[in-house]
Amino acid sequence: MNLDEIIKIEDLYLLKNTHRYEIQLIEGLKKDVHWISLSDTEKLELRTKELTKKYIFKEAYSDLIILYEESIVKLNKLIIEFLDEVSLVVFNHENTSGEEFVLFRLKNMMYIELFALNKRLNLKYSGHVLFEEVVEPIFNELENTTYYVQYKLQDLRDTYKSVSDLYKKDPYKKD
Amino acid sequence: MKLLEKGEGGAIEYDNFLSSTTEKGVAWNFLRKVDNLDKKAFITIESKSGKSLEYGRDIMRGEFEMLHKSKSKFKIEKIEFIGKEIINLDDVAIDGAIPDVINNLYLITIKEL
Repeated sequence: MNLDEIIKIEDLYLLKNTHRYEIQLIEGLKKDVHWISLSDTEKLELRTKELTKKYIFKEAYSDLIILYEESIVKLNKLIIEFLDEVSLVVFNHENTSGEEFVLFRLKNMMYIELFALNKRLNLKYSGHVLFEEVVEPIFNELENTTYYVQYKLQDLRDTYKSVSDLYKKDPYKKD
Repeated sequence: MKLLEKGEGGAIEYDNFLSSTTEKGVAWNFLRKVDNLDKKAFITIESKSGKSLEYGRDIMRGEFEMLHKSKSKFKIEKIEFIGKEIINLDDVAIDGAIPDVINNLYLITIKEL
């Protein structure tokens, strides 16, 4: 089913104004189908807009949720920028130097993190590539290379750690 | 719960301006967050004069918030007690989430006069 078809179905339901649960599921499907049709940049724009709603109606959301989603938006932006810049590097697998291979590993892990972040608009059920166990060791290996400054990896690392720390506090836990 | 006391067909006037949202998800989240009420109501407003702040000081806010002037009058069109509402059926279906339930819930529709 494409988005137009779902909207037509939703309109039919709304006309009858019955079967609330079915309408809720169709609205959810509409949001998800729209979400997966967006590019990474468009997803970031929509996520930023969703965060704006939370700033406006602060009473409906905990401070932790707002802080966590702010960090997610920043991380999302930094990962997109990083992947964009690093896409110019040609990783020739046979001749890749040690440092290049570490950068290649970081690129792959950031791609997976972006994939996890963008699974759904609702972040409640998204996880992360673990920071301490997977991502931090790669940053450690890159710390003394030219890539670290060139790709602004300190900022990416700090933001990733902040997201990871906030995630551990379980932002969406019901009070 | 003035609306419940007045019942269907009753009229209500708000002394202060009435702030509401155009975002259904935000409204449900308000209800979800408030835990200290015996009864809760999801109120749908059929508006005539509601204004966003689009041309005011805060454009972003205007996109999501709808204001009615103080002393605006509304008629209570419909009050329906539905007992409980699951508000995350899509998450339950897609992510296997635990159903998020709001109990003792009324669905109320008011129409601006």
